Amino acid sequence: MNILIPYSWLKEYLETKASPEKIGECLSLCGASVEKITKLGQDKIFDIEVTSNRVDMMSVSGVAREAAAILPQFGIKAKLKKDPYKLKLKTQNSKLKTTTKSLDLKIKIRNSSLCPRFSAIVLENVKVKESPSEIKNKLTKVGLRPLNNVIDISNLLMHELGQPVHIFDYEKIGKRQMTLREARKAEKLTTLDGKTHTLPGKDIVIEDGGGRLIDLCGIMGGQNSAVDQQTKKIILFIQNYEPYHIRQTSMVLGQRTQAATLFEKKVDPELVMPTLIKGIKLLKKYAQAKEKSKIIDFYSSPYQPKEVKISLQLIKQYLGLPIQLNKVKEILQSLGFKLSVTNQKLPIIKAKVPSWRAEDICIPEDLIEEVTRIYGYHNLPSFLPPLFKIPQQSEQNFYWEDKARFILKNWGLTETLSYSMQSRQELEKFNLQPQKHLKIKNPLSEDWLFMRTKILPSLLSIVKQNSGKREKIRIFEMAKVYLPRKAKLPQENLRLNLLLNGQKFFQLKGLCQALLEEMGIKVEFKKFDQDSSCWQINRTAEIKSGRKKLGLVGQLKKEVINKFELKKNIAAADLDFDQISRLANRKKTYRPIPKHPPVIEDLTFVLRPKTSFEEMVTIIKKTSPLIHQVRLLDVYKQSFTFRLSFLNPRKNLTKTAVAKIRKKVILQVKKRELGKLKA
Amino acid sequence: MKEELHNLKNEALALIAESKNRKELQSLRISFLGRKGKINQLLKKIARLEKKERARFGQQINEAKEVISKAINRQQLTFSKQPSTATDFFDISRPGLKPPQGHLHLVSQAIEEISRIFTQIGFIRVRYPEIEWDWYAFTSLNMPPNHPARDEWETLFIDRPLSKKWGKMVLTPQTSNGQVREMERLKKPPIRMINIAKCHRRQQDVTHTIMFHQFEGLVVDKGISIPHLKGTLDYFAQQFYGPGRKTRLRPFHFQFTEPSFEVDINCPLCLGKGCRTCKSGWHELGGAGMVHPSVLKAGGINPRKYTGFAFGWGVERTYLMKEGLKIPDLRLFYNNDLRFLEQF
Repeated sequence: MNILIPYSWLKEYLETKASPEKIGECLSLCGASVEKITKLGQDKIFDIEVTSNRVDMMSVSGVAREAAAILPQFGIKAKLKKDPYKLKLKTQNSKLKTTTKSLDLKIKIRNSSLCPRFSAIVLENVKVKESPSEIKNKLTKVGLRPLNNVIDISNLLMHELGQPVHIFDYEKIGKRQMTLREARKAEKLTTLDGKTHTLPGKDIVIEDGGGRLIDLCGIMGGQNSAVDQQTKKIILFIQNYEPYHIRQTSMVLGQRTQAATLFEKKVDPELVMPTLIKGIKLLKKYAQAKEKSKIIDFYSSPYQPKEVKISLQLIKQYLGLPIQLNKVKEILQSLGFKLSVTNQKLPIIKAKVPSWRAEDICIPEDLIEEVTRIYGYHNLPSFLPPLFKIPQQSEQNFYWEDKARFILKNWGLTETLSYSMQSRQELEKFNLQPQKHLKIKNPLSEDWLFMRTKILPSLLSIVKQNSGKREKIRIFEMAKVYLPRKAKLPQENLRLNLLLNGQKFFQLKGLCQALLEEMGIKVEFKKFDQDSSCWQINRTAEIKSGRKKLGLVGQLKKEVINKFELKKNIAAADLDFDQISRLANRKKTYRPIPKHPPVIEDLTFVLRPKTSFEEMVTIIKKTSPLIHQVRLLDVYKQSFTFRLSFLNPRKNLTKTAVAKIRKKVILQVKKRELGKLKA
Repeated sequence: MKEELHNLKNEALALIAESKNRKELQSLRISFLGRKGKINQLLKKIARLEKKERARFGQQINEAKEVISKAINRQQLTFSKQPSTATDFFDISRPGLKPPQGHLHLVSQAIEEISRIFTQIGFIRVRYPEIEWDWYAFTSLNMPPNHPARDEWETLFIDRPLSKKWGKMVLTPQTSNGQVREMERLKKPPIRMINIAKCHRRQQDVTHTIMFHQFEGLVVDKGISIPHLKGTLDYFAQQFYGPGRKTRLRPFHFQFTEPSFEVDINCPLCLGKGCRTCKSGWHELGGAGMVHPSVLKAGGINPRKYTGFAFGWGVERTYLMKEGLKIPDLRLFYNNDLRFLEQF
């Protein structure tokens, strides 16, 4: 969350001669990040990012307190002025006594955990009018629009002290009664900005004696009880609310006000009374208000300062350098901690935590942060941690993933990375059943509803999206798919998918084979004849290494391609990369280089239809152990040209020896009715 | 006969040396080495020799053949260098024939580079679930039950029954789930992991994508200090962004670290002095911190004996800070437009 703070306003709480730029630099290094300093007339405006644990810094006085602790570490004198926590009630004045009962206002709090502190006072004789320019200027500088003196004062209080403030028109509250409770589901309430909300339920609200909801607590007041030009009597209303309720209501309704942003981070209940006192003072000064009631204050468990202990030794260890006890004390005290030190030899520092840091400082490490950040991280040295042997995660093999990616890239394929979620349409187009997928409970969009179990639908969408841009598409993606399991986390399976557009079965088969061979895996391709919802039955092969299944390569069904509105055929492969990584190896074996060159011969056969290449190779090789290799050189219609290489490791083969084998090959092919030699 | 061979060889070498062009050289090759050439003529006379000398002579003839053949080849090379080809028109401006060129996704390239840098300084690359139990994603990381990061506006939940032991099933919004998992794997320090994985958050705009990648560093050991973290991050910054680059820590807040830091990197143009493009001299890089004792405890490690640091940064964001990349919209990464992918 960010806050705008004018330099001039900050100086009301901070005594220093430091320039705005210097303050900005020091705050950024040791406190909160000053993102921008903008010049505005004579003034400079800080734009400060405050982290969610430091709601105490979401105000002019809070930033001043922080700056007063930080600047001296840079050798710059600085002091906090007008500490709001020192604002005390002057109890001699009878009207300003606190009470939990008041004749002017009946209060019921159904559940005090919703509202740890409830305070209010009725003021009369109020003159609603335009604010003086000094107030208007302050608000304008921080981006707030001045309305009238009463509203402006409530905004000014919040910005200056960090405590949200609400003011009701007293006369508009039915029977002068207020009941603070949780809302029921679907109750209706119209807020100051004119928006009517249907409440989700369990929202903190106030009901008046007339049974109307008059306040969406901690977020925005109700329109029906708002201050207007005619208002004479008001209730200055300052509360502390339970954060979770506020965040829920504000998020569900989309009503993100500054008050909600503060309350959902837990505002210090000790800040309630100083704000009320300052509020009374301002309303008296600028709206001629007079106290009508006593101060109502329900505060069931006032803050008891807690104590956190830290050893000097541990601070030194985190810092990586020696630091003096006095330095540590100086820093912590400047932040409002009350200290005592025991054991002077190995000092233990006991720190009483100020109320405004009660939520944030709980353990010794929290104190270490306070000391080290104010000391300055920029003042610490920088060196590498010592090296030790640590065992690798056995099931992972990042080497092969990188290797496969590089190989495919170098073979001309482009890697895609798509979202791990798919839409219902995508699944259905690929003939997948949505109910077999993990579904997102709170999807951001229907496009991202199911955790994918297949990468291919995403790749087909990518082809569709790129159609018309590229003629040839050659892509791959390596990603996890998420396979549901009962009562367990899903199995996350790393898969490699490849896609070429067109009738590219053999290109893709060759690609897969070559890739796997590069990884030291010998594979076989078996006809995949299971009924499949996406693979063409006659154009798909299962890739196996021994009995291990590595995946499928094939042409996709025309029906699927049509559903993705694609014109061209698609060849694809879906490989189990976890399995591949397990089989991949860097084993190398030397085979002696033949002393005698092989004899190479090409034979063209006209094959009988349905004769497979594999059958031919088996028959040819069986003919003689001297046939060292058979390759398919060329195919034209039914004519297949085979390149045979003959090799005898022991001697040179003579022409006659080769001729003899050749004859036998031709004969065998003929005899088995596989085909005949082309004349 | 040996002398005859010697003379023949010398004659051949002399003629080769004097030859003026390829044609002359070719006729020399035929007259000496051809099937009916002078050498073979001499070979025919081998029958006249005594048996035990035949082998030796045969060997000498082979040697002579080889010497002549080499001389011819050598002479041939000098011809090809001769200026006659200089007058041919040879257009070197025509495009070369490139091998097929594929492309790795920018995020893959970034991950490869990041993991290489960290493994150089002894980090162990690991991978943990992307769909995770609440316990590892939040509770063990010291996230209170009602923390905003756990609500349905920020984190994506899986529609599955709650586990009594581990809580809800979620899509990890950060790689920090790897912290406690790595502590459980190793059982005790030293730990030095780099966990790179996909993460998901419920947000999609110019600077956010619902899916993104993070890399998470975790070091736990006796006496790990803030300077160790500074050293590691400075090493990374120099390797990844270039010499002269360094990091600085500023106070920040995260549930799973204490103290917590925001890490800045100095501007590449002014190296931290402050210039027109960066104003303050520094750019925000990501979060880091000293491991919160509750997180160590959740991972079964005694926080009184060990300390540690951790950082978890977006891969895309970190990569975008490289000089000169200039990608204006994070969503481009996952649109998979080939005109984008093929640029890298």
